[in-house]
Amino acid sequence: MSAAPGTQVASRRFPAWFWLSLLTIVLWGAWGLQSKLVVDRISPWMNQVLFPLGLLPVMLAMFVSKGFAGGHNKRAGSRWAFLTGVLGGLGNVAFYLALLKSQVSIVVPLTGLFPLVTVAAARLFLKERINRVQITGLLIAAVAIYLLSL
Amino acid sequence: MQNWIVLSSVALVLWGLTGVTQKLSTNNISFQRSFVWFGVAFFAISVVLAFARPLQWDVAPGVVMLATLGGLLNGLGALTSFAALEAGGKASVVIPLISLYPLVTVAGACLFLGEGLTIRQIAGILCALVAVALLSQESPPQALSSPHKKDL
Repeated sequence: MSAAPGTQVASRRFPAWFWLSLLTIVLWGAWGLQSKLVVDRISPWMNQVLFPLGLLPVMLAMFVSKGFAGGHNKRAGSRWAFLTGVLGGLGNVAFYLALLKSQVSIVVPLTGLFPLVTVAAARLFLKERINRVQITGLLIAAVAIYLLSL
Repeated sequence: MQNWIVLSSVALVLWGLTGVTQKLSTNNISFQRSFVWFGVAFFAISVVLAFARPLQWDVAPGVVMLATLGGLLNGLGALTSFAALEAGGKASVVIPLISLYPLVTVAGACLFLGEGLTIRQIAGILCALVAVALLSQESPPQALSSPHKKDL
């Protein structure tokens, strides 16, 4: 059975990465709600220690999945993935320490602008280029993140 | 310079760099394997933290469950972000896009926790929706170049 023409146009118009990104927004949005519930009941350090317990079932599911074996340079890819976790975790530690020394209303909007660093680093290291419409979107996203973080 | 500015800047840079390392990872291995190694690093940091900082271990089981749920939700989000990058999304588009997740948090807090929306948050939501629309405007791929697929 072939897809309706409208569906084909829609899937071309919005590629898989876009839908996966929207799914990430929903999951992390729900995580943000959970953070609101947990923040007064546990220290950020203990939260960070317990956090990986939630990763465990997903890690196990990925470990036994067919896709786990995929890839052409497992050593390099695994190193980059591990580094992603280290940078993310250390970023969290620096963030919590900053919160101890200043106000949430200052630290959160400031650190929320990290995608601007990603764009600069991606241009430098990955030679990525984005078009003018996306640059406009990026700037508006930075404003949105700032406003939503206050 | 004040300490908090240095620490906030460190967080800003480290989190910013994760977008690039994520992309470099999925350029070489599957998102499934990427996620497993990402999780291993978080376990390593937890072990270091558990020894390095005095922690209050008598946490109620319900709170442990809530904190674990946070890890699960964040982990699933990290997994889909790895998948988005593996599916061809550029780090410089995917990362700003997924960083708009406070949009859902603010809307969810309004719907489920009964929190009111400020004018500033409404403006933020509107900006976020415009940003999503603009960031999705990918140029058609060019036949002879794929700059975001560079392996290091």
